[in-house]
Amino acid sequence: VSLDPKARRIRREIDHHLEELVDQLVDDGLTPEEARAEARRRFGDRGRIERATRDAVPLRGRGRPRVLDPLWQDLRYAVRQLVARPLMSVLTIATIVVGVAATAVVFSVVHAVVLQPLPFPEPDRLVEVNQTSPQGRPYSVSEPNFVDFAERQQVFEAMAGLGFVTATLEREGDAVAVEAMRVSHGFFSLFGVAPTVGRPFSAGTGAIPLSSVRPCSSTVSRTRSSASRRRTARGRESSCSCRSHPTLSSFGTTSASWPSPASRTAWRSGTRRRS
Amino acid sequence: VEDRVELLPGTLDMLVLKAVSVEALHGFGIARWIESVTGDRLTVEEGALYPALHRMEERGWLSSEWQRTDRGRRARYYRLTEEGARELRVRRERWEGSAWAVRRVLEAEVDR
Repeated sequence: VSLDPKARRIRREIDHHLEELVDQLVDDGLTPEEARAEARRRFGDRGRIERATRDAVPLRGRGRPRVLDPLWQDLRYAVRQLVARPLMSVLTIATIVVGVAATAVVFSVVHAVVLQPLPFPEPDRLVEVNQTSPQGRPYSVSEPNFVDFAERQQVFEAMAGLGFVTATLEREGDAVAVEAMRVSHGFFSLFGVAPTVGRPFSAGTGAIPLSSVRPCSSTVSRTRSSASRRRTARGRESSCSCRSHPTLSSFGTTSASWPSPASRTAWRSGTRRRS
Repeated sequence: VEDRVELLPGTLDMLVLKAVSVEALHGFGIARWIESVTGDRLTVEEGALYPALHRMEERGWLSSEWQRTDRGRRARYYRLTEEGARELRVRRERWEGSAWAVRRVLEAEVDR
């Protein structure tokens, strides 16, 4: 029969009491057998005593609220158990730590992805449009389709297209890969944001000679510095050119804190001019 | 022993607190001490003693730990906490006050 620690302790206390009683009776002149029998007789129903001890109702304190007593007992019991079993305590605490950490991580993700609104004006009016394959998989909209959608749709106030590119930024003989985003004309006005450097492009903006583009924002500079580690303070003022995308018509950068679509540092006008 | 005395209800706790007020004792030692100072006229029932010990420990008046006895046995020794010492003082004053009053009434001359 397995006993909980409290019952085990009571049993051992009673055992000890009986042993002492037997010793005393032997001292009084009884034989050990007689002493044991006499001790058992005097002790009566030891099971009853053990139960009574186990179920002893703690005395009520003066003025302590009764409702809190069981809670207080549970708390003290828990602390005693934890102190008595260090290994168990470590396991318990580790379990709680992992549980809390996992919950925190999951909540952070849910908070960022689901609960937190997008950092644009009227985020509830923003909708992402995708095409779907016959198998039900979403895939991106092609440029001609986007142009047609934007022209013919009657559901949205405005539509903007965006795509990801990696541009090559060339400066003072260095070349740096810049994570960039191709966006359509209406992108900045649709999201209600403006580039921190450069200017938003519009449908009327024709090709601008690359030499006139001076986009070197702090973000671009930082990207360069981490790449080349040779940036000087003066390097910031030098002009840049974009080599791999000669169709670049405008070039702007936003602040580094721009969220997704996001970590992009450069923007270029992407929509083909239609004739 | 012929002239045994009954333990008055509610006095066991006070006697137990008194028994452990000087040094820690195990349950058997507490019962033995009370019996010996009363010349064996007062016996302490185990069925009342151990519930009282556990109740008072739970209440914070006693603390306890396993220790070896002189004969090398492991026994649970109880000692008085500060809270227990306060409780003993309160109960003793209350007891002596009421004992004094009972005695005064019983010894008073009734002449009407």
